[in-house]
Amino acid sequence: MNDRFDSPPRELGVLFASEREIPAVATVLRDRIYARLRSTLGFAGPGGGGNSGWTGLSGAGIGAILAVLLGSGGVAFFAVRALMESSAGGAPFSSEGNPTDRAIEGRSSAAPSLASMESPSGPPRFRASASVGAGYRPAEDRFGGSAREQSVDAAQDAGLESPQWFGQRGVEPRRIAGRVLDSDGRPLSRASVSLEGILSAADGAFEQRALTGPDGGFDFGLVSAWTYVVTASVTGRRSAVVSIDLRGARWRSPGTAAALREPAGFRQHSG
Amino acid sequence: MTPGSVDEPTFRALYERELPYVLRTLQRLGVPASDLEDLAHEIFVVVYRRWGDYDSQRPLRPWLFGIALRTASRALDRRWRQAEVPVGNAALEMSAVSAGDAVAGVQDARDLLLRALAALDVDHRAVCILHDLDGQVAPEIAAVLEIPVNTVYSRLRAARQQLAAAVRRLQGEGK
Repeated sequence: MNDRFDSPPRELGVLFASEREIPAVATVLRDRIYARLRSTLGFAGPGGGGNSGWTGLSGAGIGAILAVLLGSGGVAFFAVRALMESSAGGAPFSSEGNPTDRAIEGRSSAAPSLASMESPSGPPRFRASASVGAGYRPAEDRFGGSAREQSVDAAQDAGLESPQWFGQRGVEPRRIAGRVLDSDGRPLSRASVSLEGILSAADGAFEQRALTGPDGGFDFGLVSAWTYVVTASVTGRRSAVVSIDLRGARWRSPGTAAALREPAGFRQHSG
Repeated sequence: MTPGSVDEPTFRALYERELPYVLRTLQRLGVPASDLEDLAHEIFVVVYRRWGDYDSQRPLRPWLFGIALRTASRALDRRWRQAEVPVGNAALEMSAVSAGDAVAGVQDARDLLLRALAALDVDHRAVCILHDLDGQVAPEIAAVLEIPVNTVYSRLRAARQQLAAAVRRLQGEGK
């Protein structure tokens, strides 16, 4: 600012000073955008995922991605189950029976979103379901295999509009809670669980940490409708990671394993 | 470098260095937090494809700002919900939760400034951001925005007046 402008008024100068610093960007976000760039620009070869171990989320973009990092063959792994429910309530999450479907069916009007990964013993098989409520149909898919990483995502529906609550002030916060289980479905107590808000990156990374209780449970309480990464780790085991998007309207990833469809009449409901 | 000649390591280095600036600029331009990631991706696609247009004798960030401005303007035009408060609210709120009291004052100031900037039209906002936040000089701003230098001066003065008024109004609302 070395030209002939006067200095700004003092009140503005203070505000400008607070804003001039450019905060660092969270590694997860940086790598995720770059993975999309590599795909868009057609870069070939390795090197897209940076050093964070998130290469497998290439092309994830916005939207919900459910991913679990598995131990190599025979090594124990565990799963994170994360439940996002509106503050208005809904069926409590349970690891019994078939909680995914029940939870989705139990909350159809309060914009719930649920993501779950199951890791039964034996060959790795996964099941992931998600619903974003607010008029969207649940999406569900089952897949299995020996890949070290799987992702479920959704939907490049042309013309799919953001729901009304999409990342906006005044939107009901949702709850992120869940349990950490080992490969046999037993709860892991005192596992370290972190919650990272990805798009807080422009203002510095947001992170909360918790230890699981005797039942393997953790609860971060109500959080804004935004994108998050939940990571669970226990000494001597590989971490389990779930990336979840509480905005949840448009999902996409290379896997195209699940899809969300905008039902007829959605806009009437959303106002 | 052109799309056909740029090597990925070079592009990636530029990306990693400038991504924070691009995200911050989008916020300042009023892009909702929900759109930041998509637009940052879009901007760097343009950067890659139009690298041949960049004059390496000039500073990079004003050129990036020009791309960000056009990208953000298009995005804001097509947003279906015009009434949305164009500030990275979720990001700011989440930061405030984790930042602690010492940082809360800075966050409050940033929040206030971004809200006040939203009261300016995009022409005045762009000049204010480039000069008062990015520290660019008038000739550079004029080149980026393709306007006369004197127009830069007049817009900056008007922008500051409007901004100060918006700050006072917002501070009054908060009491």
